[in-house]
Amino acid sequence: MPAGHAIKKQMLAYAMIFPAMFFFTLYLVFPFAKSLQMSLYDYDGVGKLERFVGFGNFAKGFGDLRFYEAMSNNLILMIAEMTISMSIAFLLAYFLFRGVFAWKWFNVVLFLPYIIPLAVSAVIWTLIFEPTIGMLNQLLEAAGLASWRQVWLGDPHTSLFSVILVWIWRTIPFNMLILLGSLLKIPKDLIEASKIDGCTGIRTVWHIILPLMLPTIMLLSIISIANDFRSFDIVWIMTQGGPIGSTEIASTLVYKIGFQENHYGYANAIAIMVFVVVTALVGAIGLIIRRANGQNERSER
Amino acid sequence: MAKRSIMTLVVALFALTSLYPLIWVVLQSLKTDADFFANQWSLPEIFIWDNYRTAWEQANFATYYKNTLMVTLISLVGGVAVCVVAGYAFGKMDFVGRKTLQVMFALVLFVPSPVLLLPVFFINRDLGLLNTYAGMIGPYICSIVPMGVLLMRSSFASLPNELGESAKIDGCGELRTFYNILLPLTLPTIATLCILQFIGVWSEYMWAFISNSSPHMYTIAVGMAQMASKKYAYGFGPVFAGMVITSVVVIAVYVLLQKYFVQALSEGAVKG
Repeated sequence: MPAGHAIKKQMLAYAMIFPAMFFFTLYLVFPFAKSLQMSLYDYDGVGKLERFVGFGNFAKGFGDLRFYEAMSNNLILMIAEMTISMSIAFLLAYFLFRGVFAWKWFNVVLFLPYIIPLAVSAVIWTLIFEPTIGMLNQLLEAAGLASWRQVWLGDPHTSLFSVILVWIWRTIPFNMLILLGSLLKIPKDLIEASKIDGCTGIRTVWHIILPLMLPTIMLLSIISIANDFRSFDIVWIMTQGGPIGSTEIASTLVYKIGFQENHYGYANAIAIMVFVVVTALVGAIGLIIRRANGQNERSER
Repeated sequence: MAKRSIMTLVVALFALTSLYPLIWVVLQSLKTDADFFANQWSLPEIFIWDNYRTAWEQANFATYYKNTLMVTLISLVGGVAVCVVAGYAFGKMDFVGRKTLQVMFALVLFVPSPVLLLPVFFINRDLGLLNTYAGMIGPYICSIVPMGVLLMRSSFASLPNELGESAKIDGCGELRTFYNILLPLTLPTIATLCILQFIGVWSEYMWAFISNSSPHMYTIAVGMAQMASKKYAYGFGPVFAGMVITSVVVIAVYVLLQKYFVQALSEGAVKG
């Protein structure tokens, strides 16, 4: 191939990736760099970046109780999602896999919470949790459990629980979808063989199905972590992080420190600290996957 | 048989918790507020469509709808086109820096959005893009780029090279080979991208909320949430109607394209 032609082909390739690279650079690479830069300044959002404070914002973040509170709420949300939501999702996926009546119909309906816009779900559940007219308290009263009624979102003791409940409701369908996809890929004869060997249903799940699904579960964990730390709509619309910070999560804290209190440099520093924690969590799970894969290979040999 | 019935019962219970809140919303949207306060479990005695008119006209849902339609349409067409073209270059052409860029795309898939929220806001402020469609569309297009390019790349790369080569021998240039021969074969992946981008942009709340201070620029997700926070001014009925208006398009698309939807979401997660 003549050199001129090869260069022309390279230019064409660059021309084809240019639009994607343009948006990628303008709204991902550049903001990331800008975020690092802004985190080193004290900036109230007016004029240019002038008051350089070095790592002062980070030092302040390490001593800020609100940061720890938001991280701990976010971690509780994450753990609840990864344990409760995934377990229920697995149960439902397994039942669908084993074949329930009208499973096609259920497949469509079970997925609805994931389809409707999160902002709508947040408003629906705010109304369900409403203390006087809300469906939940009315249900409890009708069931003779009037003493269980709560000011669900207004009481710091129940607010985080209520938000997590909605988040679980929202995340079950997606987890179920991915787990069901993985279940369907398991070779049928493996399951048949375990039955012939005398394995009962639960033992088949524990010894055959779960180990085979481990890679999917790990992948789902990584996706979950990323999504749990991305969530903003649900908390912002339901409680705005309140009452008294009881439902504050990473994204709402960053929003508040930035847009409400006008400490944009400090908010960026907090955002970067959150980013580091999330990356560490994802990295840890990535390591576990590698380990597990390594062991599998060794045992196969 | 007994086992199967028990399993069905459990699944049905969960299906009820998925479905009932939505039915509840539709029912209340057709009632007067007095009716709603009196008994929220009953069917509406007479169907009241006024709530929808209030939401559409007084609460500006007509404007929000127009904004959302425009922004979603442009972000969808633009975002997918950008990914398709770049995906072809990554999958079927060789250029310096290809591998590095690919790794970069894979790495940024898990950057949590709070990190980018503030800097993107200031970038758009300095560009004068706050309260504009362009200010929403740019970041939305960017949001599909890393995953979209990777999905399109693997879709193009999986096509046999002979296809393109024989077309070139027949005298097709690089661009015509791309457009006429290979592009039609990647349509399933393109459909996946369209669905992901549609549901992502139509429902997006955080960026639309931060980027627009002017109510004229709100998308329906933001407008609906704002209206819900003023439910005592508008009344509950219109708020319920607003929620139906916001969700109905997404649900309709989902029910129509259910099979593709499920495939799109699992592909987006597993391959992306």
